[in-house]
Formats: sequence, C-alpha cells, structure tokens
Amino acid sequence: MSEKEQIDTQPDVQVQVKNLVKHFVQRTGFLRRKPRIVRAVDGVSFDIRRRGTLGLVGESGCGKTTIGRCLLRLVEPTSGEVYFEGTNVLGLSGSRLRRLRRDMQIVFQNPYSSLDPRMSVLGIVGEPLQTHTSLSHGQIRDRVVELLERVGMSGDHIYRYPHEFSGGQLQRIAVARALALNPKFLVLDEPTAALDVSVQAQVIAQLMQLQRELELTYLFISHNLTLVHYLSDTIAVTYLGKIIEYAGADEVFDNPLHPYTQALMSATPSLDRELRQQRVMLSGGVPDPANPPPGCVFHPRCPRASDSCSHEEPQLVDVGNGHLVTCHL
Amino acid sequence: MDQPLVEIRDLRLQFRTYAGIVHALNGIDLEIYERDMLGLVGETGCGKSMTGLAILRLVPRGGEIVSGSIRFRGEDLLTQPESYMQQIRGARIAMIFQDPSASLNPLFTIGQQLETVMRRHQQADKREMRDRALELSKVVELPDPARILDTYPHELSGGMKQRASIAIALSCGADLLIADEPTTDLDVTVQAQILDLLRRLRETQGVAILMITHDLAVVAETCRRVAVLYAGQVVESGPVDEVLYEAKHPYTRALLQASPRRSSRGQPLLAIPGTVPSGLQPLEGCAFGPRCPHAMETCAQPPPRVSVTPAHAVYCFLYDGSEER
Repeated sequence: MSEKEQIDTQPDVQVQVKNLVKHFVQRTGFLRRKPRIVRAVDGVSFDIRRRGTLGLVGESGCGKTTIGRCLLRLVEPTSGEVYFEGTNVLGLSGSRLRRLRRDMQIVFQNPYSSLDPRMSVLGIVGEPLQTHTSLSHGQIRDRVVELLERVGMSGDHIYRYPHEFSGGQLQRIAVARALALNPKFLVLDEPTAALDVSVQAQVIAQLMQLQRELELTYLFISHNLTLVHYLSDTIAVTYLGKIIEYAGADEVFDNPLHPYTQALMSATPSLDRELRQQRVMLSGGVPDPANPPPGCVFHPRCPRASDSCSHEEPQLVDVGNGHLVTCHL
Repeated sequence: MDQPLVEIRDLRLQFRTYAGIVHALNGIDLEIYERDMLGLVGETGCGKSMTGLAILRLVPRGGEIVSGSIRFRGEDLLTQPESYMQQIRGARIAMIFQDPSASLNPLFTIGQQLETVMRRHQQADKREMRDRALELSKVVELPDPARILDTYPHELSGGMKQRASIAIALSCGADLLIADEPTTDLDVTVQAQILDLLRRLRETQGVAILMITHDLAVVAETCRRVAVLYAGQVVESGPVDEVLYEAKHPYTRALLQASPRRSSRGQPLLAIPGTVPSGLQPLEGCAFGPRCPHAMETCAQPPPRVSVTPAHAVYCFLYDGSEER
C-alpha cells in the first residue's frame, strides 16, 4: 500500500489524518423531506507526532469535537483517511477495530454526564478491562486501585459513586478509565471546561505528568486559546469545519497570520497586561455550517476581505517553518 | 469618597438543607459606586451569585438572610416591605444571567418582553413604548431593530439574545446592572463584543455594573474595581490593577498562579491543595487558613481588614500591623 510506505518514512508520526470529511444530514421541512447537509468537518488533514500534543482550537460549531470523535470512529466519517501507527482506522472492522481501540481513548468534556451515576468507581474504571481483557475480578480491582493512585486519588474510593465526588475528582476518574488499557493516544475533548481554575490547574498538571510518564500522545481540544498554547506543541485553528492555520504553538501566538486567528487572540481576555491593547473586533457570529459562505469561509466576518475572497477558496499553503495558513493574503 | 450607590455590610446568608445549615455568605462587605464597574470573582460555591441575588432579595427557597444590611442610596433594602422591592427590581436594579435562552420567555417576541417590563414600571402609550424599544435596541447594537423586536428568542443567536436581555434590563433606566456570568456561554469573539458593549453602556447610560464572573481575565479586561470572594467572604478588594498585579491575599495569589497565561507556558500551573470548605461548619477564623501556605496560629481568629492603599483592602493577618477599622 502506498500510504503505508509513506507512513514508514515518517516514524515519528503516530496519528495522521488526511482529508477528513463528516457531513451530517438533517431532514427538515414538511414531512422531513428536505435534507439539510451540515458540513461539520470539511476536508481536514493533520499529523500528530508521537508523545506530542496537537491543540485543536476554535469556537463552537467549528467541528473540533466531531474531528476528535471521527478519529476514534465514535462518529463514522463521511470520507477521508485516519492512520494510527500506519494502520488505516477507517478500513478496520470487528476484532481488529476493537484491538485498535485499546490504544486510542477519549476523555469527554463533562464528567457529570460522561460517567454513569449508577456505577461505582470500580465499575467505571474497570469496565474497559472487563471488555477487553481476561483479568479476574481481583486483578481488575488491583488495577483500578493502581490507576486511581496514578491520577492522584486514593484507592479507597473504588466503592463510591460519582455523586460523591467533585468535578475535578470525577474528571480524574474519567482519565483513569481512559488509561485503563494502557493506550498510546488520548483525545482530550475540553477536559477542563466544566471545572474551576484551581481545579483545572490540578487536572492539567496531572495530564502533563501522565504524558511524560506514560509517553502518551494527546489531541487536546479546547476553545480556550491560552490553555491550548500552554500545553500543546502544535496548534491547529479550526473555523467552520476547516483548519485555517496550523503551526507550532509559539509560532501561532507570536506570528498569527490568518485574520481569524488574530481576531481570536485579541478577543481572548488576558491577564497579561502587555497583551491588553487594541482589539480586532469581529462582527456577528459563526455562520450556519449547513450553509457555509462561498469562497473563503471566513470572508463575511473578515476585516481584510477583498473581492477574490468571496469566490475563490484559499488553499492551505506553507509559508515556511511548517507554518500553514489558508488565506489569500 | 462619595456616598456609595450600594453598601453591603456584614451580609450573612444561610440555607437550611437536610444535611444541616449551610453558611453561604459569612459577612460580606462591599461597596458599589455610581457608574462603577465592579468585578466579583471567585470559584464555584464561593457565594458570588448569592450576593447578586441577595441585593435584589431574590434568594432561593430555603435561604435566609440572617444578618447584615444592604443600603441602596442610603435605604436598607433588607428592612423594606416586599412592595418596595417590586418597585426596585427591574427599575432601579436590574439583572442579567448567564443563559439568555432561559431568562427570555420563548412564547413572546423580544418587543413584547421589553414592553412588559416598561409597562410594569412606567406610564406610556403604545407608540412611546415602541419608540423607546427601538431606541434601546439601538443602544445595545441589535442589527435591524425594527425586525428584531418582532422576532422570538429562538430566532436569535446567543450573542443577540444576550443583547436583547441587556436591553430589557436597561429599559427602565436602572442605576445598577447585576450581570451574573453574562458571557460564560458565549464564544470568545462574541464574548468580546458583549464585554465591549457593557463597558460602553457604563459610560453612555451612566449605569453601574456588578460583574459576577469566575474568569479573572474577564475582570482584568473590563472592570475598574474587583472583590475576590472565598467561602462567602471578601478576602481582597480594590482597584483591578492593584488587586490583580500586586495581589496580597494568599488566595488571590494562588488563583492567579493557577490561571494559565501566555507568559506562563512551560512553567507549571500551581494548583491549590485541598478543597473549598462545604459551608456546613460555621466559619471561625480565616476560611482559607486550612489551604494557606502562610497559615499561622492566629489564623484561627477572624482576619482583620488591612488597608494596603486607601482603596485596596485585604483581609489577612500577614499584613496586620497597620490595622484599622
């Protein structure tokens, strides 16, 4: 397979996504006869290096969560290719897919809704072990205790239920569950959006420590640019299902090229006094992904849009140092 | 200094629950001046929303204000009859909430909801009200006001709905707008628009704003003064530049160190050990004491109010020595 050879030449790349597309079809209108196609993810490509963190940042409705779910096939992509260590995830089925899922896990945004309130911590964290391994009950319990301790919690908690924990503790439990099968790759979908800053700091510190100790690869999804910058080495900025800028974390921050990235950065409230200067204020909100504007998807809100932006779609171009941007400018 | 618009003294609020009495507010002291923009920050459960609701005497069922005073233009709201509060709510003191979809009525148009509030507090005929509604829509920068007034909330985006709820809040010329996490549900680019609008409304409409938020960066960007809350007490208050950049209280400092910022990349975020007290025990001494790296024996006593500068106050024994009060 030609794709396979290409992967072998880049042994450092663990996850490679090529031209990923996910269109959701909604039926609306009288008797739901009118199909409405929502282009949630519209041709996205990126690589994630082994032990690296790719930060996926964007506003609501830009497709960042859908991208994360497509990688694990929790949502079936419409087209495109996802390679995990050289294997096309989208071509697998049955036991081979199950085998692969042990290596790829996800932590969701809201631990209050992602953990079953009627299961004990032992059940929650032990469930993946029950499904994927043939460990005995005692062995599972020992492993759950070990996992809890790994995420900085006491092993005494195994017979407790989710309502007995705070948000930060629940998110640690969710991380422990994701780590149960020794995965190599974790999708972190806004893992701290529901938490207070001091608790967020605990969870983030924990995640960074786990990454070092267990040599994990992360896809970190967030709307918080400051947070993404803090823990990613590469950042992809998404807008209406497309990646509009892709570069090293410091490069994106020091030298943002796309007008949307610039606006996003100036709109992000900051505690750094030097950064509080003039703002690039955008008008309106994100357009309906079922009906994206022609040409550059950002042009109706772009302060620097020119004529060509409304009919020619810009391509992702490399402007040097691996800094990719889709913009005519 | 001028007479404050709102002066809260030793406000204490308790909830009766099956688990016992929860001490939600433990002696809040706060001043809001005319045309002020005061940020009230703290983490979940520190009492910031309850303080906002207590000013309007809208404390939820089970909650009881057990002591203290809330003076609005010199008048203690806590001793007034309910009928007096009905004159105040919406007219002199208005409130907007985190989720405008929940605070707007889905069955009425934006225009109808604006007029309902105006009819309650003012005498005006239909024509005048419509004119006033159009004017307000322009003030909050709703595009195409004549059309928007005839739309229902579900037809508007989150940012537009929040603008509409601000218009309703300002419809009777309130002196104080309590904004409870007004931008938490919005995208950053829309958040920037709403924060910018609130800042300008303070100037053009002469309204004081109490901004309740968990986000220190939002306070840094929009407010003039800030009060930091912890476990139902103010731990530090003063001008934003002094409190956020020359923080004195160990909790304020810890909160700042836990917040990621651009300049902190590569450095560890410092988590605060321990957890927030449950409120089931009455507070004795400093609430932050058990988690404080500088805790001393005296911290079991209620901390003194220490003036760092005339406007900047911190409630902590570390700075005791020039104690006043």
